[in-house]
Amino acid sequence: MLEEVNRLSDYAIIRAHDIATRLLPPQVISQLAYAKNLREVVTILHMTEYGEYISREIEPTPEYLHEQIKKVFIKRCLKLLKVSSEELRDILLEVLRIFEIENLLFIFKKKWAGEKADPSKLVILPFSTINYSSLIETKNVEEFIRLLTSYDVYSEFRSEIISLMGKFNSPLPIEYELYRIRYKRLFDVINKQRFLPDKREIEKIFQIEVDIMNIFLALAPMLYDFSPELIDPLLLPSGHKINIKTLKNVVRSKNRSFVMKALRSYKDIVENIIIKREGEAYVIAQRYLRKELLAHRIPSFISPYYVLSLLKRCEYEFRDLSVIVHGIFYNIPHENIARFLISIYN
Amino acid sequence: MAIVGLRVVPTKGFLLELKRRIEIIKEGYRLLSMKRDELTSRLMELLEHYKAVKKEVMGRAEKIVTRFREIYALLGPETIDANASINRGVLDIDVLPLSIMGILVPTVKALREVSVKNLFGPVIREIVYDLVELFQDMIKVTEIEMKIELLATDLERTNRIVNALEKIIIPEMESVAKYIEDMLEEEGLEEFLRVKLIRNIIVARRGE
Repeated sequence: MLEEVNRLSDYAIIRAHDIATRLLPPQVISQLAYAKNLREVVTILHMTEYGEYISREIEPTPEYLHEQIKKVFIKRCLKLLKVSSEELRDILLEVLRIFEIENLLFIFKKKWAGEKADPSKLVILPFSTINYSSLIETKNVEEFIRLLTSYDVYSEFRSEIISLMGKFNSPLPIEYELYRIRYKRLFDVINKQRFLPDKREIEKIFQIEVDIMNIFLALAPMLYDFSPELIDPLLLPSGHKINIKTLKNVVRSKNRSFVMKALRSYKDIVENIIIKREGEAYVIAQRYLRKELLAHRIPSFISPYYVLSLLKRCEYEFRDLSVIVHGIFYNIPHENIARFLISIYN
Repeated sequence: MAIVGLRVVPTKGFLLELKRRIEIIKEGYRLLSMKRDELTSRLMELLEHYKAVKKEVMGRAEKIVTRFREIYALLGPETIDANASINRGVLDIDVLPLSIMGILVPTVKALREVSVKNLFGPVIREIVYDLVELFQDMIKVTEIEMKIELLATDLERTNRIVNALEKIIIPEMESVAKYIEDMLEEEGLEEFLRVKLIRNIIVARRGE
Protein backbone atom coordinates (compact mmCIF):
# COMPACT_ATOMS: atom_id res chain seq x y z
CA MET A 1 0.00 0.00 0.00
CA LEU A 2 2.81 2.36 0.94
CA GLU A 3 4.42 1.70 -2.39
CA GLU A 4 1.16 2.63 -4.11
CA VAL A 5 0.92 5.86 -2.12
CA ASN A 6 4.51 6.72 -2.94
CA ARG A 7 3.86 6.12 -6.57
CA LEU A 8 1.04 8.64 -6.41
CA SER A 9 2.84 11.16 -4.25
CA ASP A 10 5.70 11.36 -6.64
CA TYR A 11 7.61 14.12 -8.23
CA ALA A 12 4.38 15.98 -9.03
CA ILE A 13 4.03 17.06 -5.40
CA ILE A 14 7.52 18.52 -5.41
CA ARG A 15 6.79 20.35 -8.64
CA ALA A 16 3.49 21.52 -7.19
CA HIS A 17 5.37 23.12 -4.29
CA ASP A 18 7.66 24.75 -6.82
CA ILE A 19 4.73 26.13 -8.84
CA ALA A 20 3.00 27.25 -5.63
CA THR A 21 5.89 29.63 -4.95
CA ARG A 22 5.24 31.25 -8.34
CA LEU A 23 1.54 31.85 -7.74
CA LEU A 24 0.72 35.49 -7.28
CA PRO A 25 0.18 36.34 -3.60
CA PRO A 26 -3.20 37.91 -2.67
CA GLN A 27 -1.58 41.32 -2.13
CA VAL A 28 -0.23 41.30 -5.70
CA ILE A 29 -3.65 40.30 -7.04
CA SER A 30 -5.10 43.16 -5.03
CA GLN A 31 -2.43 45.55 -6.33
CA LEU A 32 -3.28 44.49 -9.88
CA ALA A 33 -6.99 45.11 -9.26
CA TYR A 34 -6.15 48.68 -8.26
CA ALA A 35 -3.82 49.32 -11.23
CA LYS A 36 -4.59 52.53 -13.10
CA ASN A 37 -4.34 51.00 -16.55
CA LEU A 38 -3.18 47.94 -18.46
CA ARG A 39 0.35 49.38 -18.70
CA GLU A 40 0.59 49.27 -14.93
CA VAL A 41 -0.73 45.69 -14.96
CA VAL A 42 2.05 44.79 -17.41
CA THR A 43 4.63 46.49 -15.18
CA ILE A 44 3.50 44.50 -12.14
CA LEU A 45 3.19 41.22 -14.03
CA HIS A 46 6.62 41.73 -15.55
CA MET A 47 8.18 41.08 -12.16
CA THR A 48 6.47 37.68 -11.94
CA GLU A 49 6.44 34.48 -13.93
CA TYR A 50 4.19 36.24 -16.45
CA GLY A 51 7.10 38.54 -17.36
CA GLU A 52 8.48 35.85 -19.67
CA TYR A 53 5.35 35.97 -21.76
CA ILE A 54 4.27 39.60 -21.66
CA SER A 55 6.19 42.02 -23.79
CA ARG A 56 6.53 45.61 -22.64
CA GLU A 57 6.97 46.75 -26.21
CA ILE A 58 3.47 45.69 -27.27
CA GLU A 59 0.57 48.02 -26.47
CA PRO A 60 -1.40 45.95 -23.95
CA THR A 61 -4.95 45.01 -24.87
CA PRO A 62 -7.20 42.70 -22.86
CA GLU A 63 -7.08 40.14 -25.68
CA TYR A 64 -3.27 40.13 -25.76
CA LEU A 65 -2.93 39.90 -21.98
CA HIS A 66 -5.62 37.21 -21.74
CA GLU A 67 -3.74 35.19 -24.33
CA GLN A 68 -0.46 35.45 -22.38
CA ILE A 69 -2.14 34.63 -19.06
CA LYS A 70 -3.70 31.61 -20.75
CA LYS A 71 -0.23 30.51 -21.91
CA VAL A 72 1.14 30.60 -18.35
CA PHE A 73 -1.84 28.65 -17.07
CA ILE A 74 -1.47 26.02 -19.78
CA LYS A 75 2.26 25.81 -19.10
CA ARG A 76 1.62 25.16 -15.40
CA CYS A 77 -1.00 22.51 -16.19
CA LEU A 78 1.33 20.76 -18.60
CA LYS A 79 4.19 20.86 -16.12
CA LEU A 80 2.03 19.12 -13.54
CA LEU A 81 0.64 16.61 -16.00
CA LYS A 82 4.09 15.77 -17.31
CA VAL A 83 5.52 14.82 -13.94
CA SER A 84 2.43 13.10 -12.53
CA SER A 85 2.05 9.38 -12.21
CA GLU A 86 -0.54 7.79 -14.45
CA GLU A 87 -3.11 7.58 -11.65
CA LEU A 88 -2.75 11.20 -10.65
CA ARG A 89 -2.69 12.33 -14.27
CA ASP A 90 -6.06 10.67 -14.84
CA ILE A 91 -7.54 12.75 -12.04
CA LEU A 92 -5.87 15.96 -13.19
CA LEU A 93 -7.12 15.42 -16.73
CA GLU A 94 -10.68 15.10 -15.50
CA VAL A 95 -10.27 18.25 -13.38
CA LEU A 96 -8.99 20.15 -16.40
CA ARG A 97 -11.75 18.78 -18.61
CA ILE A 98 -13.78 21.81 -17.53
CA PHE A 99 -11.81 23.83 -20.09
CA GLU A 100 -12.61 21.29 -22.78
CA ILE A 101 -16.29 21.58 -21.83
CA GLU A 102 -16.12 25.38 -21.93
CA ASN A 103 -14.70 25.11 -25.46
CA LEU A 104 -17.40 22.65 -26.50
CA LEU A 105 -20.11 24.92 -25.11
CA PHE A 106 -18.64 27.88 -26.96
CA ILE A 107 -18.76 25.97 -30.25
CA PHE A 108 -22.17 24.49 -29.46
CA LYS A 109 -23.80 27.82 -28.60
CA LYS A 110 -22.43 29.39 -31.76
CA LYS A 111 -23.77 26.42 -33.70
CA TRP A 112 -27.15 26.89 -31.98
CA ALA A 113 -27.25 30.40 -33.46
CA GLY A 114 -26.06 29.16 -36.84
CA GLU A 115 -22.69 30.87 -36.47
CA LYS A 116 -19.17 29.61 -36.78
CA ALA A 117 -16.98 29.64 -33.68
CA ASP A 118 -13.62 31.37 -33.82
CA PRO A 119 -11.01 28.73 -32.82
CA SER A 120 -8.67 31.41 -31.45
CA LYS A 121 -11.11 31.97 -28.61
CA LEU A 122 -10.76 28.43 -27.29
CA VAL A 123 -8.58 27.40 -24.35
CA ILE A 124 -7.06 24.34 -25.95
CA LEU A 125 -5.13 22.14 -23.55
CA PRO A 126 -2.83 19.76 -25.43
CA PHE A 127 -4.16 16.65 -23.70
CA SER A 128 -7.60 17.09 -25.24
CA THR A 129 -8.46 14.40 -27.75
CA ILE A 130 -11.22 16.49 -29.27
CA ASN A 131 -10.82 17.68 -32.83
CA TYR A 132 -12.33 21.12 -32.44
CA SER A 133 -12.03 22.02 -36.13
CA SER A 134 -14.30 19.18 -37.20
CA LEU A 135 -16.83 20.17 -34.52
CA ILE A 136 -16.72 23.77 -35.73
CA GLU A 137 -17.32 22.58 -39.28
CA THR A 138 -20.44 20.54 -38.45
CA LYS A 139 -23.56 21.75 -40.25
CA ASN A 140 -25.96 21.90 -37.33
CA VAL A 141 -26.55 21.12 -33.67
CA GLU A 142 -27.63 17.54 -34.36
CA GLU A 143 -24.47 16.80 -36.33
CA PHE A 144 -22.42 18.44 -33.61
CA ILE A 145 -23.94 16.16 -30.97
CA ARG A 146 -23.53 13.11 -33.19
CA LEU A 147 -19.85 13.87 -33.69
CA LEU A 148 -19.32 14.72 -30.03
CA THR A 149 -20.87 11.49 -28.82
CA SER A 150 -18.58 9.54 -31.11
CA TYR A 151 -15.74 10.44 -28.75
CA ASP A 152 -15.22 7.92 -25.94
CA VAL A 153 -15.38 10.58 -23.24
CA TYR A 154 -18.83 11.75 -24.27
CA SER A 155 -20.23 8.42 -25.44
CA GLU A 156 -22.51 8.15 -22.42
CA PHE A 157 -24.49 11.17 -23.51
CA ARG A 158 -28.12 10.43 -22.56
CA SER A 159 -30.56 10.34 -25.47
CA GLU A 160 -33.35 11.95 -23.36
CA ILE A 161 -31.19 15.05 -23.12
CA ILE A 162 -31.49 15.59 -26.86
CA SER A 163 -35.28 15.28 -26.71
CA LEU A 164 -35.29 17.65 -23.71
CA MET A 165 -33.29 20.16 -25.73
CA GLY A 166 -35.86 19.89 -28.54
CA LYS A 167 -38.86 20.03 -26.24
CA PHE A 168 -37.77 23.20 -24.45
CA ASN A 169 -35.81 24.64 -27.35
CA SER A 170 -32.94 25.25 -24.97
CA PRO A 171 -29.20 24.58 -25.07
CA LEU A 172 -29.17 24.18 -21.27
CA PRO A 173 -29.66 20.35 -21.25
CA ILE A 174 -26.51 19.92 -23.37
CA GLU A 175 -24.54 22.21 -21.06
CA TYR A 176 -25.51 20.31 -17.92
CA GLU A 177 -25.13 16.91 -19.58
CA LEU A 178 -21.51 17.78 -20.34
CA TYR A 179 -21.02 18.82 -16.71
CA ARG A 180 -22.67 15.59 -15.55
CA ILE A 181 -20.33 13.52 -17.70
CA ARG A 182 -17.34 15.46 -16.42
CA TYR A 183 -18.22 14.98 -12.75
CA LYS A 184 -19.12 11.33 -13.26
CA ARG A 185 -15.78 10.64 -14.89
CA LEU A 186 -14.03 12.63 -12.19
CA PHE A 187 -15.65 10.75 -9.30
CA ASP A 188 -15.12 7.43 -11.09
CA VAL A 189 -11.44 8.09 -11.56
CA ILE A 190 -11.04 9.22 -7.94
CA ASN A 191 -12.85 6.15 -6.64
CA LYS A 192 -10.77 3.90 -8.86
CA GLN A 193 -7.68 4.92 -6.88
CA ARG A 194 -7.91 2.55 -3.97
CA PHE A 195 -4.96 3.92 -2.08
CA LEU A 196 -5.26 7.55 -2.93
CA PRO A 197 -4.43 9.58 0.20
CA ASP A 198 -6.95 12.27 1.15
CA LYS A 199 -9.41 10.67 -1.24
CA ARG A 200 -12.40 11.88 0.83
CA GLU A 201 -11.05 15.43 0.89
CA ILE A 202 -10.49 15.44 -2.86
CA GLU A 203 -13.97 14.11 -3.44
CA LYS A 204 -15.44 16.66 -1.08
CA ILE A 205 -14.08 19.59 -3.11
CA PHE A 206 -15.79 18.38 -6.26
CA GLN A 207 -18.94 17.44 -4.39
CA ILE A 208 -19.14 21.04 -3.16
CA GLU A 209 -18.71 22.19 -6.77
CA VAL A 210 -21.66 19.95 -7.70
CA ASP A 211 -23.74 21.41 -4.85
CA ILE A 212 -23.04 24.93 -6.07
CA MET A 213 -23.94 24.12 -9.66
CA ASN A 214 -27.14 22.44 -8.47
CA ILE A 215 -28.10 25.43 -6.33
CA PHE A 216 -27.82 27.81 -9.28
CA LEU A 217 -29.87 25.42 -11.36
CA ALA A 218 -32.53 24.62 -8.76
CA LEU A 219 -33.28 28.29 -8.08
CA ALA A 220 -33.90 29.11 -11.74
CA PRO A 221 -37.65 28.18 -11.72
CA MET A 222 -38.36 30.37 -8.70
CA LEU A 223 -36.33 33.37 -9.86
CA TYR A 224 -36.40 33.20 -13.65
CA ASP A 225 -39.49 31.14 -14.34
CA PHE A 226 -37.60 28.16 -15.79
CA SER A 227 -39.68 25.02 -16.28
CA PRO A 228 -39.21 22.54 -13.42
CA GLU A 229 -39.61 19.71 -15.97
CA LEU A 230 -36.50 20.99 -17.68
CA ILE A 231 -34.49 21.48 -14.52
CA ASP A 232 -35.24 18.17 -12.76
CA PRO A 233 -33.34 15.89 -15.16
CA LEU A 234 -30.40 18.29 -15.25
CA LEU A 235 -29.62 18.21 -11.52
CA LEU A 236 -26.19 16.71 -11.01
CA PRO A 237 -25.82 13.69 -8.74
CA SER A 238 -23.13 13.24 -6.05
CA GLY A 239 -23.46 16.51 -4.18
CA HIS A 240 -21.86 17.04 -0.79
CA LYS A 241 -24.45 18.56 1.54
CA ILE A 242 -27.60 18.70 -0.57
CA ASN A 243 -29.28 15.64 -1.95
CA ILE A 244 -31.30 15.45 -5.15
CA LYS A 245 -34.59 15.07 -3.25
CA THR A 246 -34.10 18.39 -1.45
CA LEU A 247 -33.09 20.03 -4.71
CA LYS A 248 -36.21 18.73 -6.45
CA ASN A 249 -38.31 20.26 -3.68
CA VAL A 250 -36.45 23.55 -4.16
CA VAL A 251 -37.09 23.40 -7.91
CA ARG A 252 -40.84 23.29 -7.26
CA SER A 253 -40.90 25.73 -4.40
CA LYS A 254 -41.88 29.39 -4.61
CA ASN A 255 -41.33 29.92 -0.91
CA ARG A 256 -38.12 31.79 -0.17
CA SER A 257 -37.94 30.84 3.49
CA PHE A 258 -38.27 27.16 2.56
CA VAL A 259 -35.49 27.56 0.02
CA MET A 260 -33.26 29.34 2.52
CA LYS A 261 -33.88 26.58 5.03
CA ALA A 262 -33.28 23.76 2.55
CA LEU A 263 -30.05 25.29 1.27
CA ARG A 264 -28.86 26.76 4.58
CA SER A 265 -25.42 25.14 4.21
CA TYR A 266 -24.72 27.64 1.44
CA LYS A 267 -26.58 30.59 2.96
CA ASP A 268 -24.35 33.38 1.56
CA ILE A 269 -24.45 32.00 -1.95
CA VAL A 270 -28.22 31.44 -1.92
CA GLU A 271 -28.91 34.91 -0.50
CA ASN A 272 -27.03 36.52 -3.37
CA ILE A 273 -28.73 34.38 -5.98
CA ILE A 274 -32.13 35.25 -4.54
CA ILE A 275 -31.46 38.98 -4.78
CA LYS A 276 -30.27 38.37 -8.35
CA ARG A 277 -26.62 39.12 -7.71
CA GLU A 278 -25.43 35.94 -9.38
CA GLY A 279 -22.00 37.31 -10.22
CA GLU A 280 -21.33 37.88 -6.54
CA ALA A 281 -22.84 34.49 -5.68
CA TYR A 282 -20.49 32.84 -8.16
CA VAL A 283 -17.45 34.57 -6.66
CA ILE A 284 -18.52 33.75 -3.10
CA ALA A 285 -18.90 30.12 -4.15
CA GLN A 286 -15.43 30.06 -5.69
CA ARG A 287 -13.94 31.74 -2.63
CA TYR A 288 -15.67 29.18 -0.44
CA LEU A 289 -14.14 26.38 -2.51
CA ARG A 290 -10.73 28.02 -2.36
CA LYS A 291 -11.02 28.33 1.41
CA GLU A 292 -11.88 24.64 1.61
CA LEU A 293 -8.87 23.83 -0.57
CA LEU A 294 -6.51 25.93 1.53
CA ALA A 295 -7.88 24.62 4.82
CA HIS A 296 -6.64 21.15 4.04
CA ARG A 297 -3.46 22.29 2.33
CA ILE A 298 -1.10 21.97 5.33
CA PRO A 299 -2.16 18.48 6.49
CA SER A 300 -1.90 17.33 2.87
CA PHE A 301 1.48 18.89 2.26
CA ILE A 302 2.88 15.72 0.74
CA SER A 303 -0.22 14.22 -0.75
CA PRO A 304 -1.75 14.34 -4.26
CA TYR A 305 -4.39 16.59 -2.71
CA TYR A 306 -1.77 19.32 -2.75
CA VAL A 307 -1.31 18.92 -6.51
CA LEU A 308 -5.05 19.13 -7.07
CA SER A 309 -5.42 22.11 -4.80
CA LEU A 310 -2.59 23.80 -6.66
CA LEU A 311 -4.24 23.11 -10.00
CA LYS A 312 -7.43 24.74 -8.75
CA ARG A 313 -5.46 27.70 -7.41
CA CYS A 314 -3.79 28.10 -10.81
CA GLU A 315 -7.26 28.12 -12.36
CA TYR A 316 -8.45 30.79 -9.89
CA GLU A 317 -5.40 32.91 -10.67
CA PHE A 318 -6.08 32.55 -14.41
CA ARG A 319 -9.71 33.58 -13.93
CA ASP A 320 -8.78 36.45 -11.58
CA LEU A 321 -6.23 37.89 -13.98
CA SER A 322 -8.77 37.67 -16.78
CA VAL A 323 -11.27 39.63 -14.63
CA ILE A 324 -8.58 42.21 -13.84
CA VAL A 325 -7.47 42.88 -17.43
CA HIS A 326 -11.02 43.11 -18.73
CA GLY A 327 -12.20 45.08 -15.71
CA ILE A 328 -9.45 47.67 -16.02
CA PHE A 329 -9.88 47.95 -19.76
CA TYR A 330 -13.63 48.57 -19.41
CA ASN A 331 -13.17 51.10 -16.59
CA ILE A 332 -14.91 49.09 -13.92
CA PRO A 333 -14.27 50.76 -10.54
CA HIS A 334 -11.36 49.14 -8.71
CA GLU A 335 -13.47 48.15 -5.70
CA ASN A 336 -15.87 46.33 -8.01
CA ILE A 337 -13.03 44.49 -9.72
CA ALA A 338 -11.76 43.44 -6.30
CA ARG A 339 -15.27 42.22 -5.44
CA PHE A 340 -15.08 39.73 -8.32
CA LEU A 341 -11.72 38.23 -7.47
CA ILE A 342 -11.35 34.80 -5.97
CA SER A 343 -7.75 34.78 -4.74
CA ILE A 344 -7.73 38.21 -3.15
CA TYR A 345 -7.78 36.87 0.42
CA ASN A 346 -5.41 34.48 2.14
CA MET B 1 -54.62 95.10 -56.11
CA ALA B 2 -54.53 91.33 -55.61
CA ILE B 3 -54.57 88.69 -52.93
CA VAL B 4 -52.43 85.60 -53.41
CA GLY B 5 -54.16 83.46 -56.03
CA LEU B 6 -57.11 85.85 -56.40
CA ARG B 7 -57.67 88.75 -58.78
CA VAL B 8 -59.45 91.59 -57.02
CA VAL B 9 -62.44 92.99 -58.82
CA PRO B 10 -64.00 95.95 -57.04
CA THR B 11 -67.61 94.93 -57.35
CA LYS B 12 -70.34 94.38 -54.83
CA GLY B 13 -70.58 90.70 -55.78
CA PHE B 14 -66.85 90.23 -55.27
CA LEU B 15 -67.01 92.05 -51.94
CA LEU B 16 -69.78 89.75 -50.73
CA GLU B 17 -67.81 86.70 -51.88
CA LEU B 18 -64.68 88.08 -50.25
CA LYS B 19 -66.47 88.71 -46.96
CA ARG B 20 -67.82 85.17 -47.03
CA ARG B 21 -64.31 83.90 -47.59
CA ILE B 22 -62.97 86.03 -44.75
CA GLU B 23 -65.61 84.54 -42.46
CA ILE B 24 -64.60 81.00 -43.50
CA ILE B 25 -60.92 81.79 -43.07
CA LYS B 26 -61.57 83.30 -39.67
CA GLU B 27 -63.48 80.16 -38.65
CA GLY B 28 -60.54 78.09 -39.93
CA TYR B 29 -58.17 80.31 -38.02
CA ARG B 30 -60.24 79.81 -34.84
CA LEU B 31 -60.23 76.03 -35.31
CA LEU B 32 -56.52 75.93 -36.12
CA SER B 33 -55.64 78.01 -33.07
CA MET B 34 -57.73 75.61 -30.99
CA LYS B 35 -55.80 72.74 -32.60
CA ARG B 36 -52.54 74.53 -31.87
CA ASP B 37 -53.46 75.00 -28.21
CA GLU B 38 -54.56 71.39 -27.91
CA LEU B 39 -51.40 70.15 -29.65
CA THR B 40 -49.27 72.31 -27.36
CA SER B 41 -50.98 70.91 -24.32
CA ARG B 42 -50.65 67.29 -25.60
CA LEU B 43 -47.04 67.91 -26.46
CA MET B 44 -46.31 69.33 -23.03
CA GLU B 45 -47.96 66.31 -21.42
CA LEU B 46 -45.94 63.96 -23.63
CA LEU B 47 -42.73 65.84 -22.89
CA GLU B 48 -43.34 65.59 -19.16
CA HIS B 49 -44.06 61.87 -19.53
CA TYR B 50 -41.01 61.44 -21.77
CA LYS B 51 -38.74 63.23 -19.33
CA ALA B 52 -39.89 61.01 -16.46
CA VAL B 53 -39.72 57.77 -18.47
CA LYS B 54 -36.39 58.61 -20.07
CA LYS B 55 -34.83 59.56 -16.74
CA GLU B 56 -35.96 56.28 -15.24
CA VAL B 57 -34.95 54.16 -18.25
CA MET B 58 -31.60 55.87 -18.73
CA GLY B 59 -30.82 55.54 -15.02
CA ARG B 60 -31.60 51.87 -15.22
CA ALA B 61 -29.70 51.48 -18.50
CA GLU B 62 -26.62 53.00 -16.92
CA LYS B 63 -26.81 50.55 -14.03
CA ILE B 64 -27.41 47.61 -16.38
CA VAL B 65 -24.53 48.56 -18.66
CA THR B 66 -22.20 48.91 -15.66
CA ARG B 67 -23.39 45.56 -14.40
CA PHE B 68 -22.98 44.07 -17.87
CA ARG B 69 -19.37 45.22 -17.94
CA GLU B 70 -18.79 43.53 -14.59
CA ILE B 71 -20.36 40.28 -15.78
CA TYR B 72 -18.37 40.57 -19.01
CA ALA B 73 -15.14 40.86 -17.05
CA LEU B 74 -16.17 38.02 -14.74
CA LEU B 75 -17.24 35.50 -17.38
CA GLY B 76 -14.90 36.58 -20.13
CA PRO B 77 -15.61 37.65 -23.70
CA GLU B 78 -15.95 34.08 -25.00
CA THR B 79 -18.81 33.14 -22.67
CA ILE B 80 -20.62 36.40 -23.34
CA ASP B 81 -20.07 36.04 -27.07
CA ALA B 82 -21.37 32.46 -27.11
CA ASN B 83 -24.43 33.32 -25.02
CA ALA B 84 -25.18 36.45 -27.02
CA SER B 85 -25.58 34.24 -30.08
CA ILE B 86 -28.25 32.06 -28.51
CA ASN B 87 -31.10 34.50 -28.67
CA ARG B 88 -31.23 36.33 -31.99
CA GLY B 89 -34.14 37.67 -33.99
CA VAL B 90 -37.07 36.64 -31.88
CA LEU B 91 -38.80 39.95 -31.26
CA ASP B 92 -41.75 40.61 -33.55
CA ILE B 93 -43.38 44.01 -33.40
CA ASP B 94 -46.12 45.73 -35.32
CA VAL B 95 -46.25 49.49 -35.68
CA LEU B 96 -49.88 50.61 -35.66
CA PRO B 97 -51.06 54.14 -36.49
CA LEU B 98 -52.91 56.03 -33.77
CA SER B 99 -54.64 59.34 -34.49
CA ILE B 100 -54.01 62.27 -32.16
CA MET B 101 -55.92 65.36 -33.44
CA GLY B 102 -55.82 63.83 -36.89
CA ILE B 103 -52.08 63.24 -36.77
CA LEU B 104 -51.05 59.64 -37.25
CA VAL B 105 -48.50 58.61 -34.64
CA PRO B 106 -46.98 55.14 -34.28
CA THR B 107 -47.93 52.74 -31.51
CA VAL B 108 -45.69 49.73 -31.09
CA LYS B 109 -47.40 46.47 -30.40
CA ALA B 110 -45.27 43.45 -29.54
CA LEU B 111 -46.56 40.44 -31.45
CA ARG B 112 -43.99 38.12 -29.93
CA GLU B 113 -42.09 39.11 -26.78
CA VAL B 114 -38.42 38.28 -26.41
CA SER B 115 -38.41 34.96 -24.66
CA VAL B 116 -35.30 34.07 -22.72
CA LYS B 117 -36.99 31.52 -20.52
CA ASN B 118 -35.09 28.24 -20.09
CA LEU B 119 -32.20 29.48 -22.22
CA PHE B 120 -29.38 30.79 -20.09
CA GLY B 121 -27.17 29.33 -17.45
CA PRO B 122 -26.08 30.86 -14.12
CA VAL B 123 -24.70 34.40 -13.84
CA ILE B 124 -25.39 35.34 -17.46
CA ARG B 125 -29.18 34.96 -17.01
CA GLU B 126 -29.19 37.72 -14.38
CA ILE B 127 -28.04 40.30 -16.92
CA VAL B 128 -30.01 38.80 -19.81
CA TYR B 129 -33.33 39.30 -18.00
CA ASP B 130 -32.40 42.90 -17.18
CA LEU B 131 -31.35 43.57 -20.76
CA VAL B 132 -34.59 42.16 -22.18
CA GLU B 133 -36.62 44.39 -19.87
CA LEU B 134 -34.47 47.37 -20.78
CA PHE B 135 -34.84 46.64 -24.47
CA GLN B 136 -38.63 46.69 -24.16
CA ASP B 137 -38.49 49.96 -22.23
CA MET B 138 -36.23 51.43 -24.91
CA ILE B 139 -38.90 50.62 -27.49
CA LYS B 140 -41.43 52.51 -25.33
CA VAL B 141 -39.07 55.50 -25.09
CA THR B 142 -38.59 55.45 -28.87
CA GLU B 143 -42.36 55.31 -29.35
CA ILE B 144 -42.84 58.41 -27.18
CA GLU B 145 -39.95 60.17 -28.96
CA MET B 146 -41.57 59.43 -32.32
CA LYS B 147 -44.95 60.74 -31.10
CA ILE B 148 -43.29 63.91 -29.85
CA GLU B 149 -41.45 64.40 -33.11
CA LEU B 150 -44.58 63.98 -35.23
CA LEU B 151 -46.72 66.17 -32.97
CA ALA B 152 -44.02 68.83 -32.86
CA THR B 153 -43.72 68.82 -36.66
CA ASP B 154 -47.47 69.21 -36.98
CA LEU B 155 -47.56 71.86 -34.28
CA GLU B 156 -44.89 73.81 -36.12
CA ARG B 157 -46.88 73.59 -39.35
CA THR B 158 -50.16 74.52 -37.62
CA ASN B 159 -48.45 77.40 -35.87
CA ARG B 160 -47.07 78.66 -39.15
CA ILE B 161 -50.55 78.53 -40.75
CA VAL B 162 -52.18 80.21 -37.75
CA ASN B 163 -49.57 82.95 -37.78
CA ALA B 164 -49.86 83.41 -41.53
CA LEU B 165 -53.64 83.64 -41.22
CA GLU B 166 -53.46 85.95 -38.25
CA LYS B 167 -50.67 88.22 -39.42
CA ILE B 168 -50.88 88.14 -43.23
CA ILE B 169 -53.86 86.55 -44.92
CA ILE B 170 -56.76 87.82 -42.78
CA PRO B 171 -55.41 91.40 -42.48
CA GLU B 172 -54.65 91.41 -46.18
CA MET B 173 -58.12 90.16 -47.12
CA GLU B 174 -59.73 92.58 -44.72
CA SER B 175 -57.75 95.44 -46.21
CA VAL B 176 -58.82 94.33 -49.69
CA ALA B 177 -62.43 94.20 -48.52
CA LYS B 178 -61.98 97.65 -47.03
CA TYR B 179 -60.44 98.86 -50.28
CA ILE B 180 -63.36 97.45 -52.27
CA GLU B 181 -65.82 99.00 -49.83
CA ASP B 182 -64.05 102.35 -50.19
CA MET B 183 -64.01 102.00 -53.96
CA LEU B 184 -67.69 101.10 -53.99
CA GLU B 185 -68.53 103.95 -51.67
CA GLU B 186 -66.55 106.34 -53.84
CA GLU B 187 -68.24 104.99 -56.93
CA GLY B 188 -71.63 105.41 -55.22
CA LEU B 189 -70.82 108.96 -54.24
CA GLU B 190 -69.62 109.72 -57.74
CA GLU B 191 -72.81 108.23 -59.13
CA PHE B 192 -74.87 110.30 -56.70
CA LEU B 193 -73.06 113.48 -57.63
CA ARG B 194 -73.43 112.64 -61.31
CA VAL B 195 -77.17 112.06 -60.88
CA LYS B 196 -77.49 115.24 -58.88
CA LEU B 197 -75.58 117.20 -61.53
CA ILE B 198 -77.70 115.79 -64.33
CA ARG B 199 -80.84 116.51 -62.34
CA ASN B 200 -79.70 120.11 -61.87
CA ILE B 201 -79.00 120.40 -65.60
CA ILE B 202 -82.44 119.01 -66.44
CA VAL B 203 -84.11 121.32 -63.90
CA ALA B 204 -82.21 124.28 -65.31
CA ARG B 205 -83.23 123.43 -68.88
CA ARG B 206 -86.92 123.15 -67.88
CA GLY B 207 -86.68 126.54 -66.13
CA GLU B 208 -85.48 128.19 -69.33
